[in-house]
Amino acid sequence: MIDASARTFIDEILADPDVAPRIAHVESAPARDADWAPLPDGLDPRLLEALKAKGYERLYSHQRASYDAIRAGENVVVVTPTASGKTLCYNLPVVQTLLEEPEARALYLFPTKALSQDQQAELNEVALGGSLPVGIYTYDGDTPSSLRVAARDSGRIVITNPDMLHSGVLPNHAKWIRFFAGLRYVVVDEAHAYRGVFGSHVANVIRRLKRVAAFYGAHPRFVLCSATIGNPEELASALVEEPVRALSENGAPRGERRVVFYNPPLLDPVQGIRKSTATESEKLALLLLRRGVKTILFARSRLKVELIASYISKALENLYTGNGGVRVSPYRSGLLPSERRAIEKGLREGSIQGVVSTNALELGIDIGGLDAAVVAGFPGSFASFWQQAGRAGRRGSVSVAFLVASSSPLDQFILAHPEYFFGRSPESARIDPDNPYIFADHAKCAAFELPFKEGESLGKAGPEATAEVLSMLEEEGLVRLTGGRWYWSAAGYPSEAISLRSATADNVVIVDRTGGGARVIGEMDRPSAKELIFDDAVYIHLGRQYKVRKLDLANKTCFVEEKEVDYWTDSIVKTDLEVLTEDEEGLLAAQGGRGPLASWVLGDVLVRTEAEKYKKLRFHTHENVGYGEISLPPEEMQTRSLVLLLPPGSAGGDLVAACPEGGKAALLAGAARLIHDLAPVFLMCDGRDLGLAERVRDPHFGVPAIYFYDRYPGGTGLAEGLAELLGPAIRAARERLASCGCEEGCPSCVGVDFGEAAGPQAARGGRAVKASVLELLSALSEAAPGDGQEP
Amino acid sequence: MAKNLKGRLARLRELGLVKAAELEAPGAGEKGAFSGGAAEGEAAAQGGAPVGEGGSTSPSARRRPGAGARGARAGGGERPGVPSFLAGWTQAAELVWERELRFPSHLPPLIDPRPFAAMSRKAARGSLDAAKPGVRSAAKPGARAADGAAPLGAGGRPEAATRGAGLAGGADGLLPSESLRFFDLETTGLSGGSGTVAFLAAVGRIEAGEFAVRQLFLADYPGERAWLEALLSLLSEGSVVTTYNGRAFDLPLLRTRLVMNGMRPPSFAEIDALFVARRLWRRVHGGASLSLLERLVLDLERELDVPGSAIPDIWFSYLREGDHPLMAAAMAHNAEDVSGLERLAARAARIFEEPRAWAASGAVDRAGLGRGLLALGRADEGEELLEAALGEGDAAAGLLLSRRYRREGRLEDRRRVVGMLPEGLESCVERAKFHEHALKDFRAALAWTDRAISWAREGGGTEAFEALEARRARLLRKLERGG
Repeated sequence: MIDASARTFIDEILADPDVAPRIAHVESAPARDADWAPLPDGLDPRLLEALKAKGYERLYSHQRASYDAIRAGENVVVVTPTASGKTLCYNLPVVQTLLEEPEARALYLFPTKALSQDQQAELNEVALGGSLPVGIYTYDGDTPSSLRVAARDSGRIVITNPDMLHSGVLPNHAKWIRFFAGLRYVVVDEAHAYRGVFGSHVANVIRRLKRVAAFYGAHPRFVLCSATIGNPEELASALVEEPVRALSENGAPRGERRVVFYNPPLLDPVQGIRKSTATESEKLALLLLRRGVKTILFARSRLKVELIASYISKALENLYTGNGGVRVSPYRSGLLPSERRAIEKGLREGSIQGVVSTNALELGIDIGGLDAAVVAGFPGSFASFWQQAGRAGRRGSVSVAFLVASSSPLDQFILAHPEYFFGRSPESARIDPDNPYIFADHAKCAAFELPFKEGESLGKAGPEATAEVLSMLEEEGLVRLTGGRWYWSAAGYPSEAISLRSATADNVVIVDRTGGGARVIGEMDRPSAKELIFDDAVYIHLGRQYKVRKLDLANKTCFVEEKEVDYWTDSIVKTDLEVLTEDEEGLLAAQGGRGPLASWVLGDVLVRTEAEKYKKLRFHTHENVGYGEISLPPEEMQTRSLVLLLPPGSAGGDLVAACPEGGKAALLAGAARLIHDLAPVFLMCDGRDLGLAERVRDPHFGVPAIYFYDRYPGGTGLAEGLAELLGPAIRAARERLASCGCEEGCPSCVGVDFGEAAGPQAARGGRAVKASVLELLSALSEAAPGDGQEP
Repeated sequence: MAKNLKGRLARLRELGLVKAAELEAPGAGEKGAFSGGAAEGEAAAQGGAPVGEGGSTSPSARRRPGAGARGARAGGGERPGVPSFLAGWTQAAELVWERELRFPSHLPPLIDPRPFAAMSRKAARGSLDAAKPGVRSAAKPGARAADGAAPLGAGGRPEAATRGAGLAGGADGLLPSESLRFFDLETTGLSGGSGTVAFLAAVGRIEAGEFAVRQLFLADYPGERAWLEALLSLLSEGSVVTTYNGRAFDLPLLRTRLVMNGMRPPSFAEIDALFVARRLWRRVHGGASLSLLERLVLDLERELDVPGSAIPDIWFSYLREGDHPLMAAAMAHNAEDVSGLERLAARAARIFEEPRAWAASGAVDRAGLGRGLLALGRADEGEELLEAALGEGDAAAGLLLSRRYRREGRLEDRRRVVGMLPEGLESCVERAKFHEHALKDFRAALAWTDRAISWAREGGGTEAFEALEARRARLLRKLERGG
């Protein structure tokens, strides 16, 4: 917890001569008092007693509002930041109902196991405190079989996660007959986590859940909790396919919070090269940690987490002072669950003072009170940033969050426009429950659970689409239509092979063979494995370096051995595209009825990726010290894409046509890169969720084309989202470029390699490329090229 | 978005595309389109469908429409006439067929059911997975527990196996064997989830000196309710349902099928012979599957038996094609399972009637039989067998006896048994305990503790070590005080 002396440390750091010149902006949000409401009337006396025993004499306004709406029978989504007492928003009305109706049951869904163990502890406190007759059980992969039986039979509140619901509970629903028959509430916590791939899967699991509940005569109400996103009501109703009321007024008190924008110094203003984000973030973290400020540093990738954590630990190394009493740990998925639990515990208990993490720690896992957050590079969405920043000052005391910009166009844009950052509403979360692959997978599971009647619809997908997918499944020999019903007719257990979280269920297990042993140290999905842990790659885990001896895809195993080297490996991925369908099209229209600026097409594409080579990059300097070959089979997938077309006759197309032949590739590449980098500002995705490819002469459309495709098979709504937001994305791209102070292009705008076609000319022609890209983007956003340019 | 879904799905079918696949994976060759019978195992377990998980397909091998389409695509499943394997069966209801087979019977007219439930909590621990002692399973809806009958598929403790009104039997606790219903199912999978269907059932009973097996065959899904009703009437009538691993599999599955058809599961007494079989034979033969014990204990070889794992696909294939050459064999397999179960039960009953003779023959696990006898209250016989086992080096038998004698205060018996314990960590600990508490000989106890510690060093795990250190410390304190 920060006291006045900690606050002074923050002021000290901000005044530090190494830090102060880099500060682009400081925003302070003052402390805020609580908004109170009385406890509701008519509470069961046992519940009342339990509340009073825990010190609850009254409620925050949003907790009361939530109670009233839920008891009135509405579906509700409670929208609040972390640490605002959201648990009571659903616990109170649920437990009250359970006390009134002895047969009533409730299901609590959390995205991960760790969260649900956390919540169980909190719930048990409330329930046991008043010795309430409400049996609460966690039901997940770790639950021993004796407790599983108890949970099914006597659990009034069952806590689980979507994966367990999908593969453990729903396919065995006949064992849960009493539970489903009495199911009154389904609580979906951290609902903002259910976006993209995962969200599309979970929406389908909820469709199956409602279907099974209806079989037993139950129609539960849904209570969702979400962090602040742009469209909580829309996301919630898309997840549960029913109307949901959003409650977004937050009555909880809040401590003072400062957000500091920090821009690493320019090393070469002409070339636009800045000091590395990682190095600067480490510096800030060390300044904080050395002053005893408990700090979390968020990095963009698992690799960076490992690198930064080891740099910081090395910097703190001091045999005499025992590293100054500071312990810093990396944290990311891919660590074993036991390793992650140990780190969470260390943070809570204070034996670990600093943690370097990916966004894995964004979700509400309780890690106790951290005082400062350093966010190394914009995490791709505002919602993510606020979740990460919100890790500091959890207990409502003074906190500080640093955003350390990278040189990417997006980060530089944000730093230059704090009003945009603080003024805008956060992104919207998107899902696509009708992604045909996802839908077909869940139709299989649903058929296993209950036979489909002819004409039945799975959720709101519609009877025609449902029938279509069922006859596809019949062709596969998985279901049989007879007597007016579709029956599951295969020996397998479909949900086993379907993972809710990755494109394929083929995870590769990483095994450490050092010294002749065989220890599992992590796992990774197959497509990522091909790009990250190919033969001879450097793999970093919990700060230790390993070299990959063999990636055995057939057996889904990767063998590594500990080895210290002074470089890391970065693969070069080649991408091919084939257009499969054109489903929708549109124009980027000019104001005032002049001809179109460009056109676009939305459809399915086939993407083929292959990692052929890799670079060896020295630690710290990132200089290239060699190449290596990768010989792995390519991956192929079908997905959704938005194609931006620049045909002759459109303003954009004419500009490209007028460009000299040798410069067309660079022009397209530069424009594409900028639009792609800024798109996440508008969609709620990570830059890596969106793939990019440009073609000067596209083989299918015959004109210059830029493809933006969803990197998840079948798509998760990103391409559709971009179709709606293309105009604003192009305008933001143009603005970033116009205000960039470099002379010949830099990583913060058009980049420095202008595609393969550009060749060695590129460096000399950078100025020309920058100018032509600016011209193109200006034409596409109907601005004059001179607008907003730095003098 | 839903409006596009049908179109997108239709296009997926046309183009036959997979979700995310490896192209030309090294050495894997081409996995062809899912084909019913041949795709047992791998593809079947995955659900087989390229929509979902991709096999390796090169672009030219992508599935085209019609590839994999089966004959009986038309709904309603019209098939050309009655399948060949139903010769000799009679139709019992729409889509339900039955027949009766007769086998020789082996059970005596009266049977003692207690050995089949013969497991105390202690005896059960460490020997079985199926029912964990101490697990309480609450009454399921529909189950009547008033008369003490174990609810169907309760999964409770082994000794619950033979509670129940049906087992009240005569004053001597014996049951008429005619009241037993031996029962086995063939299903479409092993998972027990709601998508697994039972399509073949065999119920065997002793009738007029013979073993009559009635079988019910489900010809297609819509007949299930009638099939279940027929099965229930075969199983109840005041009977004791006897199965092999039925507690963990067949009975819960039956219960699930009843729930799926909106029928109330009845309750009746049940016996699962797996437990006594494991006790008698697992250590001797290295396993306790019914097929293994049929061969090694009963000396029965089945000709041309269909392996159980192939049976689900035989039924699916028949549904699509209208017939299947191996179905008759599968049906025979099912009936023979039940007949084999009756024989095995008869053998187990005889063993418990003359345990000493059987133990001497070496055909049963002496210690297992001994434990069973103890649980039945037949102390003399049980102890004799366990001591004989100990005499041949069975440490577990010795430890069990030592603890038993300690509880019963039989010092001399315990001394004898402790002296016979073979070398090992637990034996040393037991000897240490004996010397410390029974004889108050702390010096000897310390010596045994030290022996145990050196055993623990060679790999007993830290818990054993810590406990031993604690014991050692306590003994040293006692020696100090007592001198």
